[in-house]
Amino acid sequence: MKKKKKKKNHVPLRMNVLFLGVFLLFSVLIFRLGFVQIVDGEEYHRAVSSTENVTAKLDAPRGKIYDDTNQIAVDNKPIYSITYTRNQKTTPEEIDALAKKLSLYISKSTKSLTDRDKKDYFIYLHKKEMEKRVSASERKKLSDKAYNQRLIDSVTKKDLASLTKKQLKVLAIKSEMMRGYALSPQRVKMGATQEEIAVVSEHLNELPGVDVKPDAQRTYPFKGTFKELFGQVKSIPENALSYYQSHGNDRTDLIGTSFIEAQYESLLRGKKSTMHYVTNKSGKPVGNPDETDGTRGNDISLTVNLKLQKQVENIIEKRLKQVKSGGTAYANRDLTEAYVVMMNPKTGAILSMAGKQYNKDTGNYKNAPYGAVYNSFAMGSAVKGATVLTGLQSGAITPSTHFYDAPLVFGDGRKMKSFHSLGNIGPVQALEASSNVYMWNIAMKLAGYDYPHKRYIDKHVEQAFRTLRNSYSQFGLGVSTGVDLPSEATGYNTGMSDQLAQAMFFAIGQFDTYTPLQMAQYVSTIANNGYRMQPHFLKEVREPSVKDGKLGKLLYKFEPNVLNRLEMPQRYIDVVQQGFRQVMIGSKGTAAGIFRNKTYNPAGKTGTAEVDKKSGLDNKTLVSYAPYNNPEVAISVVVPKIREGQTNSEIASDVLDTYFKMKQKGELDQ
Amino acid sequence: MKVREGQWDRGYLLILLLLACCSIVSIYAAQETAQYVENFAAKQAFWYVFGIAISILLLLLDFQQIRRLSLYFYLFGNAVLLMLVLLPDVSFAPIRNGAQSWLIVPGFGSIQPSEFMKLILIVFLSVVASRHLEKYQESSLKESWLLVGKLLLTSGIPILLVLMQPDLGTALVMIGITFVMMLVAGVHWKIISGMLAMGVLFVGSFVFTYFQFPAFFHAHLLKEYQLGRIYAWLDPYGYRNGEGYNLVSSLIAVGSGEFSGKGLQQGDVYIAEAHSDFIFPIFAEQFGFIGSSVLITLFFLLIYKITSTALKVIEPFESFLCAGVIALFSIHIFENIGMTIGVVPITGIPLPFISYGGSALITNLLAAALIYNIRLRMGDYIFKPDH
Repeated sequence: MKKKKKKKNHVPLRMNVLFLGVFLLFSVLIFRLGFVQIVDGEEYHRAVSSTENVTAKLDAPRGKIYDDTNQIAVDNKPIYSITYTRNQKTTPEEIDALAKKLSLYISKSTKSLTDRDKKDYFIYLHKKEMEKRVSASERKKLSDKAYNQRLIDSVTKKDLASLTKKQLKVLAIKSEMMRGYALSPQRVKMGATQEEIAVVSEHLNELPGVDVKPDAQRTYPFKGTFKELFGQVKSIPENALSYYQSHGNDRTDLIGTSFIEAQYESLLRGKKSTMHYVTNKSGKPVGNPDETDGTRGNDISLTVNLKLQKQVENIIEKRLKQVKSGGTAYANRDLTEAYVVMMNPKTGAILSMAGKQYNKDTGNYKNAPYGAVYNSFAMGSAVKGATVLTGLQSGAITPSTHFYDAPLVFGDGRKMKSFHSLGNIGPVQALEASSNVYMWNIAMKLAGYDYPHKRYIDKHVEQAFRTLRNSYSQFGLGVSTGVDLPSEATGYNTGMSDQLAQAMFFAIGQFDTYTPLQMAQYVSTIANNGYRMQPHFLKEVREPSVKDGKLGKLLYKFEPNVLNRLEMPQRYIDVVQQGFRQVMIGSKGTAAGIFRNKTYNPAGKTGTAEVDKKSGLDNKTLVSYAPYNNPEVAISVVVPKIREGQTNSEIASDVLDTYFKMKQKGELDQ
Repeated sequence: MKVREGQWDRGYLLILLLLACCSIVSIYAAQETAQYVENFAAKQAFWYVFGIAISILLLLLDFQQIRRLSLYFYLFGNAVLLMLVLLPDVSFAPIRNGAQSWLIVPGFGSIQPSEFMKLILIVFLSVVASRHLEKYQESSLKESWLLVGKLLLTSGIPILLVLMQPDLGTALVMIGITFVMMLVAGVHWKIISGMLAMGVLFVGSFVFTYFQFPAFFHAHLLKEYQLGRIYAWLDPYGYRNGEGYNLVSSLIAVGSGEFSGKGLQQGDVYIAEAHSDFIFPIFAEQFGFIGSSVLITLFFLLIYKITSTALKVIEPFESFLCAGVIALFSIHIFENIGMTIGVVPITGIPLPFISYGGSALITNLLAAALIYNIRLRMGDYIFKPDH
């Protein structure tokens, strides 16, 4: 009993110690739980209910573009795109492997790959072999950047040729995948075929990050007609990203990047449908998403008549072909382009803007209407209307001032003359027969030169330049026309000179250069009794149409915008209008041969600017409006670098004929 | 088997029944978080039924038989653990989560032998300790050292084998059990306090080296990645995208339960491993401070019952069994709940009776049955001295 007692003695004590220990541990748990659940509980609760807002967006299609007669010019086609979203940790190797897999399922054009792309890929594929091409000693001397360049330089044409079609396809897919940023879907292929969609969807589980998404693509029912000026819809360029993001765009959005699509991006852009989710900390959506319906972008209609546009394009091509073949083919070997701008002089509405450029290599004529805004040329005598008005406005001449048109001979023995010597003429006849001498007299007066005595009364040649340029700018020559495009050229300002001869060349359109659009605005200003109108493509903005073929509600109509009025009395303008009319009907009219019998009563002015006197290379131009007493259409035609032919007048004649023919048929909305 | 009035402890069984209910409810809630496809709640119910059936078998054995059998179980258990260590990664002994702890028995499922080994170790340590005390009546310092040696040797083998799996959590539990055995077996206070002091010194020197000689520490003691759990424990929000993620979501779940909980099935925090090691946050989120306190109190009452059993029995062997089971349950409960609320670093240790897992549940049920067996047989011993 004693022994047992001894044994038993320690057990209860020790059990109690153990129990105490357990009690303490459990107390710690309860204490800590109290702290977590009661003291901090509210904060943790907030952490759970602290929600994150997630907005899912679905693209809405862009607005449609209609032409002047409400024909759909730019439409949307629903398509599917294969997209890829990489995360921050995706390695180039993973993308390469993925691109290889994807290349088995989809086709992809390799056209857009540059040599640089191919070189980089060749180096990527042949890393080890490439390292051998640069010796170790050389490697040491080079910085990483220089070494990289050295590697690129060492890739030969033969190397590039060794890339197989398959490899190039993988590269094309890969470069699309690498584009853009982590976590934002990138279009690998727009407009995937049904088969591609099916096979990719089937293999999505082995293609992490790849997805098939509904998308929309622009279609052009009038095919190539005016297409370039509609502009492109593309991914946001890197350098413009912050601008577009601040305007509510997402990185993956497609936006109008050029011309009308860019100009009216804010109108055309669809409003995305958004699903606004509220999620808790664990990313679980709470409740139903707050949905806002997306809407298609607003529709816009343009002032351009696409049927007319198509015909103008055809006319230019036909006339260019004509003088570039047969007997004049060799003479006109340097002739590669021609432009036409047609607008309503009273409103500035552009009815047509067309251009054709000849590709020597392919023998094709491609549409290049943008040349009418971006390319500038010496326009020659076509600008003489502005010179005469400058003379009148500055007081250098009066409507009755006559000069004797005979070759001018200067003190240094230099001779300058008109095409024909015309005798004693006033401003109307000077325009009719395109007298250089008359214009030069104006320029000499402006420069303070006394021709009869062959001396300066008060030499201010530079002042003459300023006067001429200031005056020209009232017509839109040398300044922005204000056309509703993201950018335009304003011509080339050749600068100042104290040479009188240069000022005289300025006065006959052989110094500064202007765009075909500027010329159209200039002639419109004269036609419109001195009111310079803003040329514009936008006619109306409408709500997206609900039904196909039915227009939506009118939201905005473009109102004609007067930019300025010539600062001179109407009688001065009348003089130039008379002169321009005589060009078309007068006995010495430079375009009368073609236009004399036109029933639409045109007025206008031809121009020939000598580009290369020795080889007889000229820019031939023509500005015109009709009818002369109540102008409704103004055109500017520019045919640069032509040697033989009246292509400028022929194009102008064809274009005006077409316009009035269409008008008669009621095909124009005027 | 003599059953007397008073030994049929309804309270003890009620506690176990309530724990079973908590388990099924929590696992059901956990699997509703949509991360699982299996019906773990039903499986757990099955394991409960199966475990209770085996436990009833255990009740049929008396303690002489249990003492006799314990050596064979101990040897068999170690042999299985050794086999796991020696086996390569084969289909019936796969490496899961970096450790080779599982044995797949065809037609039955996977078994975690180390779970059962904990209970076997408790029984065998109790045998070793009680034999020792029967042999040496005096508990002098010298005999205490001898006892410590015996106990360390006994537990050392399975601890080493478990460490080689590697399963640090289970090894720590076994060390804890061994220490508690020493405490209850009457090892001299000097040795006990010396051991405690050594433990403190060991951890202290670790911390000291870490701060004073970081280079040496990282080179020779622990690698940076091994410290991740410690860092995450000390600063869960600083590491919330990595090691701290589990603790942060667990804290948010527990904390957002607040005083009275969000209600049955109303939890909305995602937690990984919610059905097994992280079952407690699921429970605490739904039932709040009140619910979790009740759960901990249930555990505490269970341990109180076991303690009172230990105090009533005469045979030291049975007291030691009780102490071992108390250690087993308490360490698991403290470590598991503690890790979910940031009291201790995270280790892969389940919550007894609640977490999903067949091996652990059966082990715990057997342990509970062992204690119940003692209570049922108390009458025998009470009358024994009179015979």
